[in-house]
Amino acid sequence: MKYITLEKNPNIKINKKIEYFYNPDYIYIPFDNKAKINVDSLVLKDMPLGDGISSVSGKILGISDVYNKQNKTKALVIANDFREKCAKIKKRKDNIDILSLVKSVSLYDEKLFNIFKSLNKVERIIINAIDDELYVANNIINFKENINDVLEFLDKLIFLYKAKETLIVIKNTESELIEECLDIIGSYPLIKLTLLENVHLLSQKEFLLNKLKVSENNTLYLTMNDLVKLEKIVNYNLLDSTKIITICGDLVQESKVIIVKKYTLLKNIITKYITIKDNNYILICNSLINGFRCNLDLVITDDINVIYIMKEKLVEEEACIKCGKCLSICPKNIDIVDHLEKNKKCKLCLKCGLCNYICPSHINLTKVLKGDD
Amino acid sequence: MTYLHDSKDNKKTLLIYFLCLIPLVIYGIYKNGYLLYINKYISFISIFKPLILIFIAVILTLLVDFLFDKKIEINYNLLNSIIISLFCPCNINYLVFIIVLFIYLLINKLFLKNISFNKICLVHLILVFIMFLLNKYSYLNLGEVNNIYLYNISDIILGRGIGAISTTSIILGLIIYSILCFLTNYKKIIPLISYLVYLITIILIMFIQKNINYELIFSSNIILGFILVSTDTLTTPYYLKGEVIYAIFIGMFCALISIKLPFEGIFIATLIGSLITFLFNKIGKYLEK
Repeated sequence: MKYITLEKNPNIKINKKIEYFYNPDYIYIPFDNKAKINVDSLVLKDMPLGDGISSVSGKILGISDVYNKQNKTKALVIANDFREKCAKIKKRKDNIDILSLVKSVSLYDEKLFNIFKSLNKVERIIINAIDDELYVANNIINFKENINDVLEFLDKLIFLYKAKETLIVIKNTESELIEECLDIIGSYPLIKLTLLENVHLLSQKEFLLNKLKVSENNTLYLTMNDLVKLEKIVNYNLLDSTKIITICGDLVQESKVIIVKKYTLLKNIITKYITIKDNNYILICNSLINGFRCNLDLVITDDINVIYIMKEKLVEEEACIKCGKCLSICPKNIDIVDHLEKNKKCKLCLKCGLCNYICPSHINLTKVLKGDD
Repeated sequence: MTYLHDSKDNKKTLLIYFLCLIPLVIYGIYKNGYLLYINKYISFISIFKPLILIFIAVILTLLVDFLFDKKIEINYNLLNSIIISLFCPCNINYLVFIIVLFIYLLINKLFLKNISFNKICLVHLILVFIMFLLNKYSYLNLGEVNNIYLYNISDIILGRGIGAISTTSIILGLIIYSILCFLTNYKKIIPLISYLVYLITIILIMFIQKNINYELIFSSNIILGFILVSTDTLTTPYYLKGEVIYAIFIGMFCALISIKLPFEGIFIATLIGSLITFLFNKIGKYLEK
């Protein structure tokens, strides 16, 4: 498989100074339309509500239409009372044992629970702090914000699982963090920092393990965001009610990294923090090569990492010239040219978007392979 | 949606191709134009025959595109038409060129759009065949017809030898090849392997026949043909191993045909190779797996 580095626009810079938006007036939690709603009922922070967990305390005002990723959906509107009154969470003992660890995450994060549920023996722990998307460094920033706690917790995990090897993987272009890490990481001799080249797809487990040439068996793999979340749950009994998002683009005066309360509306964040240079813009969520167009009524959930505010541009599709570049770049070695000629779908396609990116004729190849845009 | 695309798209590739061909045209104007003019073989306007042929090719291609698609765009059709004009014999008749190219462009738009084979080769062979029928088939310019020159290897390499109207300089061809190698669309392995195989085959044949002909070993038409004609992206395999097999095929075939038809061997070999590209793709796919 050929790894490539995506071309960056030199005018867009990542601003790693963090802003905090912890006090939205309202949050919007997507919910199943069929559920019964009691308007004016009190809501506590960390209370399960609708399709998520409330990130603030307050009361339910009603229902509104929002966008949850690409889908228009109904959402519970909760007015923030700014008191941060928390729902009671089951207290954990101070000593961590494997069973407690698994049980403590199971109620609140199924994904994390599933990672630990299937673990038997752990030979190595790999923490992925790489962000594939251009101009994004959320994992790194999360690591930087919580570096001492994270390293201490990771040390405990190593002791718990008796892992022989522990790696934190970052890109070699993150020079500031590398310098800061070297000072602190020296105190943890069992934790190694691995620098990898700045190529696409390394944020995904399969490709990172392939690049590091390690087997998936007996490997505990976590992203940095997962590790921080886990650390907060286990050590402080805190659920993660916030999300780091990056807002950048060629029409943004100054790119920002903002830690927001989950279920905040994008509109409110942009109004407060972002100056847009031109009204003729489009919003792209999560990726410039396989993201989706969104609008200002987007709700910030766990799946939202970056919002690009970009100039609208028309790209004309041309006829395929059979150069074979898509073939050489496809991580699944799909014969894309053949699929395009015969207009047939492919189950193996990951929708990574690399074929679309590299195609000189600007053909939407994932649309052919997956049957949707 | 894909908002971001690699900057090396079709338009950039074509621009680099066009820029690369300029030195060939200039040398063609010098060798088959200016030098003949100062020796009073041709008129002043005839100096610019290579440029006039390119101009005709461009106008006809854009006109046909406009008639059918109601828009003018720079695409690989335009590049193909320009390459056809570069490989024409020096004494090509303008009328023959215009008629053949125009009919080809029309037929291509109407019937041949979805049929994949190297159309540059087909048009060139048709042009040459018509010239043959008109008893005007020759790659010698007027100066070469009226005089006998003893070309040595350096003459041939520098471009003083016999060849098409704009493709006599091997040095320029190699410079173009090295520039095109930087394009990710360009199938650079094909000219390399095909010329190597051609060289080995032709030397073997000459060794058997006990007749060494340097003009065949260092033929500018063949070298530039491998660089510009045999690497047409649409009609060449897209698997790397398929490209290698294709290159070996056309190299060998070109050597065998060039013994009898030294200037047309490359076009016949490439045309046949392009007709069975699907086979090379299948073999390439099988070998890659």
